[in-house]
Amino acid sequence: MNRRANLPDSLGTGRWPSLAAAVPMLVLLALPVVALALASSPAALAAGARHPLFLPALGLTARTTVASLVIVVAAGTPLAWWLAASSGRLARGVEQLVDLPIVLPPAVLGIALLQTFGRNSLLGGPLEALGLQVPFTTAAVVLTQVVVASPFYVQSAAAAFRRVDRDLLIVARTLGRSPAGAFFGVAVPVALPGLVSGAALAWARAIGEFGATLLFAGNLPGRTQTAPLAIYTALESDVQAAVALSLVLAAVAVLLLLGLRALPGGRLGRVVVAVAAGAGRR
Amino acid sequence: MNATWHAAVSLRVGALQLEVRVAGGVRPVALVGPNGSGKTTLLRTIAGAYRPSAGVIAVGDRVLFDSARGIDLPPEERRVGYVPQGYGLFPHLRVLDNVRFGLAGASRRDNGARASALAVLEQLGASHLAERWPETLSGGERQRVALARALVIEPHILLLDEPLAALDAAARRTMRRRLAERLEESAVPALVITHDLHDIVALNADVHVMEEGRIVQRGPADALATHPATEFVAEVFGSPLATSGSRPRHQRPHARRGRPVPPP
Repeated sequence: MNRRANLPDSLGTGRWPSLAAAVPMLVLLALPVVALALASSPAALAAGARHPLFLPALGLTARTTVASLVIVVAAGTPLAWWLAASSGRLARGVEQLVDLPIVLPPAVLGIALLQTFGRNSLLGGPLEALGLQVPFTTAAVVLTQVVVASPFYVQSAAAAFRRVDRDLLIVARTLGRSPAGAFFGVAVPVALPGLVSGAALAWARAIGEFGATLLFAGNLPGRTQTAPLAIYTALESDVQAAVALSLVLAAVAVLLLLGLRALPGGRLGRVVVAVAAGAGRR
Repeated sequence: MNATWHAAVSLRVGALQLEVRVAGGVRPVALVGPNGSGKTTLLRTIAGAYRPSAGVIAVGDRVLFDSARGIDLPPEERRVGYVPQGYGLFPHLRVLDNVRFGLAGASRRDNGARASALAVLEQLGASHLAERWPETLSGGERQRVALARALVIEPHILLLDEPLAALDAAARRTMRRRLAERLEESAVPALVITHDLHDIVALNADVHVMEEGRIVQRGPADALATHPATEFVAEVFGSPLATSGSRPRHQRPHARRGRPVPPP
């Protein structure tokens, strides 16, 4: 796959000036990463990693983001399939709704979630009557992550499903598969690179979630204090712990990014698809 | 003609209104028509991807669709071998897995399915491709694999959407002959969309001409050449009548609807 448009030379003359214009921005993108990497010695990092906030926060982030990713994929995949197959006004409206959390400021989202699940709110009253309280619990952390991360998965999955040739599905049906069989046997494996990259983006967004979580779930160590919130807290007392946590999150992010780049069409993509196709076959 | 299959359907897909009657025997039927005339839609309708508002589709003694009797078999029960334009090979499966996709219990370890898939590939001279990925195949190889995949379920009818269009001229000549032999050997009725008179002659096909959602003329190729009902038919079948003159309309057999040949 050739990603670059091979422009004729006469059209390519603007290339170097355009790169030069972007240099300040590129420096701004690169410098913080370099600074973070240089900020600490191994010994200080090890000390930071022993900080009491460190492990519980990382563990909570791992548990909550895996839970929210499972929910996002389980609910988002059928939604994406429906969006890919529909073109009506309803589908366009739903698409806008799905995109909403991307443009809403996290703080606004946190307030909105409080207004939904908080005391004497839309759902809070009925839930309280059942003895359930959502705000300032681990469940609130997961809910927030689901809301902020789902657009990334649903949009990517819908785009991937749209690229699946309709004829492939008709062929699968004529070869004896039920609608569900054609979906899992053909649509999902063919769209899989798009589904996986969407899931990776959604996961990254969930790991980084901060503002809405702080407002809706609070910052309670062990219950709602995820890694970004622990960084925020540690910064007040122990900068090294904050840097150590930041480096771990940065490493996860870089790995996700590299994985994403390797995925579509590449060897890794082929492997993922082959494994999934093998697992999908009964 | 001894019809072994027939379809008479009305349906609307987007802006296109289809009102079609087609029928065929063991001899292949070639479906000819300009782009957008509804040929692919008709194939997909017979395959069960679209539901007609009214009509009947029957293959052999099986009724696949009958609006009056409320019969509408899903595609997986129709026993049709559908080969779409571009062949529609599953990109995530190797050739052998593509071919045995339609066989029950198509697991990697099912030796029966593996053997039947290999046998069909062998008949089409494509067994050496079994472990290849579709993206590495040439157009002619893809066509054979797609045909094998459609034949492996022992279909009662083959629906081929421009099976030769994607090939270069040399491959086209070879594949045209092989396809004709293959269809004759298998004795499976076939409905083949094509734009090429050579395909029609090689397949010894009965022609149905479709324009704007309707069949405007049917018959053997030579009859269409001598008595074209529309400009399009005259162009495709290279009729001298189109340029040298035209018979009065009532003398043209099978003429139904469509733009008449302009008078000289």
